[in-house]
Amino acid sequence: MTGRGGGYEDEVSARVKNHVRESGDPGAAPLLFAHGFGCDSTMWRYVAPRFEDRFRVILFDYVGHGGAARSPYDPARYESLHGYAQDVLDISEELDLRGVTFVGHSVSAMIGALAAIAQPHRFARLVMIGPSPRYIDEQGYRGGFSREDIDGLLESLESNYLGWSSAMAPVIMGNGDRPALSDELANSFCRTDPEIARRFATATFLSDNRSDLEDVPVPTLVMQCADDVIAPREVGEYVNGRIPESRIVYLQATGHCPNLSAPSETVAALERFLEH
Amino acid sequence: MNPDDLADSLEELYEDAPSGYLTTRPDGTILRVNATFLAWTGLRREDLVGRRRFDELLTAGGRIYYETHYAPLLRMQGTVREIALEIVCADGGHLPVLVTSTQRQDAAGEPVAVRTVVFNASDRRRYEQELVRARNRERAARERLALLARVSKGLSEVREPVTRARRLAELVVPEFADWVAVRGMTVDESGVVELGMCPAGSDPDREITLQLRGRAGLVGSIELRRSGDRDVFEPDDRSLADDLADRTAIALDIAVALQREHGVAHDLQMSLLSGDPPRVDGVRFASGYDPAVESLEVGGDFFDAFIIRPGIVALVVGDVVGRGLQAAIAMGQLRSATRALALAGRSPSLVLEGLDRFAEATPGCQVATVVFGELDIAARRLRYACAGHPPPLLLGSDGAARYLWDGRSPPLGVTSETRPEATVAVPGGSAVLLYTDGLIEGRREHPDAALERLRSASVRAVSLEAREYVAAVMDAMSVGARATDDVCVLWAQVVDDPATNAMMSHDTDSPAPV
Repeated sequence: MTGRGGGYEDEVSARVKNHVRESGDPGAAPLLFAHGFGCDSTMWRYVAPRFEDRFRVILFDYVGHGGAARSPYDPARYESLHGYAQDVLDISEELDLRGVTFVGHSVSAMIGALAAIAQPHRFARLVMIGPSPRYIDEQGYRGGFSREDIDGLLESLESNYLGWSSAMAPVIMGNGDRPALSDELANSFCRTDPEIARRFATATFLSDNRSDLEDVPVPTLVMQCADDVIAPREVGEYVNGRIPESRIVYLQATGHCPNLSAPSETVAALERFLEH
Repeated sequence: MNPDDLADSLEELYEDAPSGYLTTRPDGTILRVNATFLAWTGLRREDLVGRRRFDELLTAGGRIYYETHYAPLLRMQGTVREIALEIVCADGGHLPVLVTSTQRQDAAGEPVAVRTVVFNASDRRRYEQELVRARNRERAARERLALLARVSKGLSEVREPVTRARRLAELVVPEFADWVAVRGMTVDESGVVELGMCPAGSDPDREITLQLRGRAGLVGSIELRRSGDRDVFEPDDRSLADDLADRTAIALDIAVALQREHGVAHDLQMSLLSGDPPRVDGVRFASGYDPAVESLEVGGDFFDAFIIRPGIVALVVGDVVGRGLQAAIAMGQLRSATRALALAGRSPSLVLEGLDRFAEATPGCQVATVVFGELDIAARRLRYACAGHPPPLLLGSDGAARYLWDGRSPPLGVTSETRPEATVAVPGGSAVLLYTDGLIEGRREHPDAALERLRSASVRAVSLEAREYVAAVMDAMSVGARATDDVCVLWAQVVDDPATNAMMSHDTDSPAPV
């Protein structure tokens, strides 16, 4: 099960490392869903199944999240979003994916952009749900947050070890989806090793990928929610304006997670884009 | 009292409950809020109901947390428990709370409202923050200890003062400081080793300057600085810096002492090895000495050749255990003792027995090995005895070579038995080669194989002149060998033609000064 021999991170199968799951039509075009910061691939539970009749649907978790391996975890690799983009590329390579439509929520929108820039030949389209290339305000740019706000988030992470404790960790790692276990855990989804979550938060909210946008080589759809405090409308429009071949769709859904709060609207917008 | 009087009306229970209650739409818009929540926060009902979303009451960091964790969990699980957040109160203060929410769904499973209970967690949060702080302090303490351990190890891995100072600098920058300067005349000729970018300007909270005190007093100073965008040096950091300075001072002190000792030992050894062998009619000498490359300390190998009485010369090669100044001193003493005993007219076996007594009483001479030979030029005869030393090699004038395996006994100071000796004929044109074990060690091979290699190297070089001969043999033996030990070689040849002896003895191959 551990792929091409153990020992080194590179040699561990990406399927195992990233808890890759496939459904739908294996011969159809691949639709790769990537979760954002804070949760895992269960975020797609109301959306992904709706595409199984026409697509090869692929879900995965980033290393240290959901059902993905906690180790080997190389802290240096995940200091920037490029490490997460490499997870995406590793999966694409191992599954030998071509013509991928990458659907990235939140920070994964930028991660998908970085992956597509690195290996354009694997990607056909990019869907960015609530993207932001830069969360912190700067001269001439409003991302919505200050450096102090991000420190506040890191504090929140410190004081909320959702469903995570060192005693439960081995159980969680060994049993991805055991219902009996879910009952014991107050918050059974979005379980993340606190240290890994902190690193993901830092990589996400301190990143600045504005200059990468103009290099995105594939047709892109930006999905913009109403009242999204994490990715405000003007940020979504900034992204849409910088990517060469991009369009934007404004959802009625509020908040940052339309895939959960308004799955039907999200699916409809996705379908319209995929028909083109 | 009538228990009914105590019973709260449901309305009172809601409004004045010991926790805050909110009801919101699925998108967070506040539909209802109780008096307790308003009292805690100082917010006004009319500003909240229908106007604000719950997440808007949170700190900015909490809002991200709400959007990335709380809301998704609520949607997926239908309930979220015990999330720690902070409400921004009317006066701008933050109220730490624990929040639990349940989602109400319609018959189709679609969420229609969210009920939220808010617990005032001020005391609990203070306690938790204490725990977090304690954990962070503990983590920092562990990191400091680890750094100290790395520095101790790193300093011990190099020897020179300047490389030790540089190693320290590499270990503390950037982990502990952004810039470091180690100063002191013992550090380097330039007196300073620097690493990192020196922050512009001066900030006492981000600077540490410490003296480096060795055993004999001040050896230098160390200066550490952090740039302005980094945390100040905390008291714990300053005590770590004290420890770093102590270890650096000791390491530099020892490095300097070692360097000094090495210099003394080297001088002593050279003075003992460079004495000219005697000019003797009928004998040609050559010698060689290669210090071990892999050790900076001098070894205890020595050779000597001197006239005992007219026509009789002594040939000595010895090897004292250990390295450094002690070994050099012991070697000097042993060499002098050998001369004294030999000049008193003792035979080789009695010279060794005398050295046994000497070694017993002299520190550092125990277990030394010595080969002592007495060459009678006119009689063309060598009397010799070996105390734990590799056997001499006899090179015949016909080009054949053989080891002298007789007259052997254990190293000095380990036996009180009588020492044996042996005599061998040394015809004109033949030579004898004495050497220390460094010549035949250093390769992974059986001792017999090494001796065979030396024998054939000697045979191959036999046509060469004295000095070239010794050099060729030493070169041949060092190929593929690790120079872990000193190599010391003494060669003496009995000149063949008596008529040319007188001439040869004047333009002689005297042992090379080493």
